[in-house]
Amino acid sequence: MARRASHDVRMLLHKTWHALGTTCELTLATAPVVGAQARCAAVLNAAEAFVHAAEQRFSRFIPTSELCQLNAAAGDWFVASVDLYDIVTVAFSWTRITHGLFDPTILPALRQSGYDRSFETIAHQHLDTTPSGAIPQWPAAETGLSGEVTLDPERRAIRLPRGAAIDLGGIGKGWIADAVMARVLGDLPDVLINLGGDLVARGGPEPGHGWIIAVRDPRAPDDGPPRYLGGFELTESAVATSGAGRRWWVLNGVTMHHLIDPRTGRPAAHLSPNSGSGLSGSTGSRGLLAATALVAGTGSSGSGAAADVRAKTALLAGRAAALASLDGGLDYAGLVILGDGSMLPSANLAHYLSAHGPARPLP
Amino acid sequence: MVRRRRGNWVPRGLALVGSIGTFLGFWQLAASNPHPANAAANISATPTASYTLPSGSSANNPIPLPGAPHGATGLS
Repeated sequence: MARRASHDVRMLLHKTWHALGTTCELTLATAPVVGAQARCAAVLNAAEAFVHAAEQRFSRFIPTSELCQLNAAAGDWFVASVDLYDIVTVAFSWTRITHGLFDPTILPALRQSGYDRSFETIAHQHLDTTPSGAIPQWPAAETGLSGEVTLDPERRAIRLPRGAAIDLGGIGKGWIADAVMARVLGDLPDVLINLGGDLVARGGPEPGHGWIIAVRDPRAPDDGPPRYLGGFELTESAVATSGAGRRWWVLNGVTMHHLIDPRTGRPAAHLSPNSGSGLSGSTGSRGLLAATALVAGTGSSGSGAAADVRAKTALLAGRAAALASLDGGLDYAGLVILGDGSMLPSANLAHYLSAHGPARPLP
Repeated sequence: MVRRRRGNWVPRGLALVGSIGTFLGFWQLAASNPHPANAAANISATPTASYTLPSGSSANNPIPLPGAPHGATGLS
């Protein structure tokens, strides 16, 4: 049995908390030297405080948030904080990159479908009307307004067209993970942050090893033990998964979910969960259930935000185009999960993992 | 012989044993006695050696889980 060299010994410090409507986790690997634990504890606490503060600023469910103020100012210029301006800039740059398939201005459509309050209050519920009392009218709310959004970097000012509102839900989580990595955990070489399934990994738990990231089975019930379909060992990467299998509800007998297709202004039809169980794709066992994206880089590279967008747009692209959209050489890769739980990797996933996996082969 | 900081001379072997003992002592202390700040903040400390590695997923799985996960991605 090989002896572990003293300099290889690592201690993992782990912290879990609730924020952003989900479970957040942070794990640090550190050498067990005097004072390391206290220093790392301070960093873990600072990271949690950063996430809570970011939620207060960028949540669409907190009326006093800066995001709500921006949406309320639609039609006029709004001078934003450095961080809000940065998130909005990143979000609309992804709108250009994805040719509109990722669109932050889908919020009116999301509200019209019934998702106009915290998800916990509508999760898997049968609603007769939207909370405002209105029965949704189709065609859906106007979408595709991102082209009319104006950004003024000199003044850090944003002007949304009248009637528009933006949602930073998924990409916001990725951006926050990136910001925590870059600003709070910048000096720590071995860190894994997980904001409700959006992860950013740097270094690894031990020298020569990456972090082991499992892919949850999207068909598993929320209240049961976690079930994994597979996973990978990663470093210097972000990972995100998107799917309609969990955030769904029924409005006037129609099953809704949170993945709005900007091309229609409605929840993407090819992703509609079964209203009976909510756990399988409407297109059957070979239909798209979820997509996972892996993007190279950590922190200031914006890989957390990128992974969220890549996963979401792969799903919106549909079954035929999803895997091709996740094939990004050594820059990004991914997999899709079908209704029967099978996983299909993008053509470059093995190559990507060989470049961003463990620094040396596992025994 | 090596010279210790306090000035007294000790055999090299004894110095090495002392250093290793000090190191192990600190590690044990860190691993088994959470720092008060950690307890207050609900932070857990785990030496990586305590992980058990399960076998991978089914043989048909093209992406088997390589070990006990440190984190999981999924629908949130």
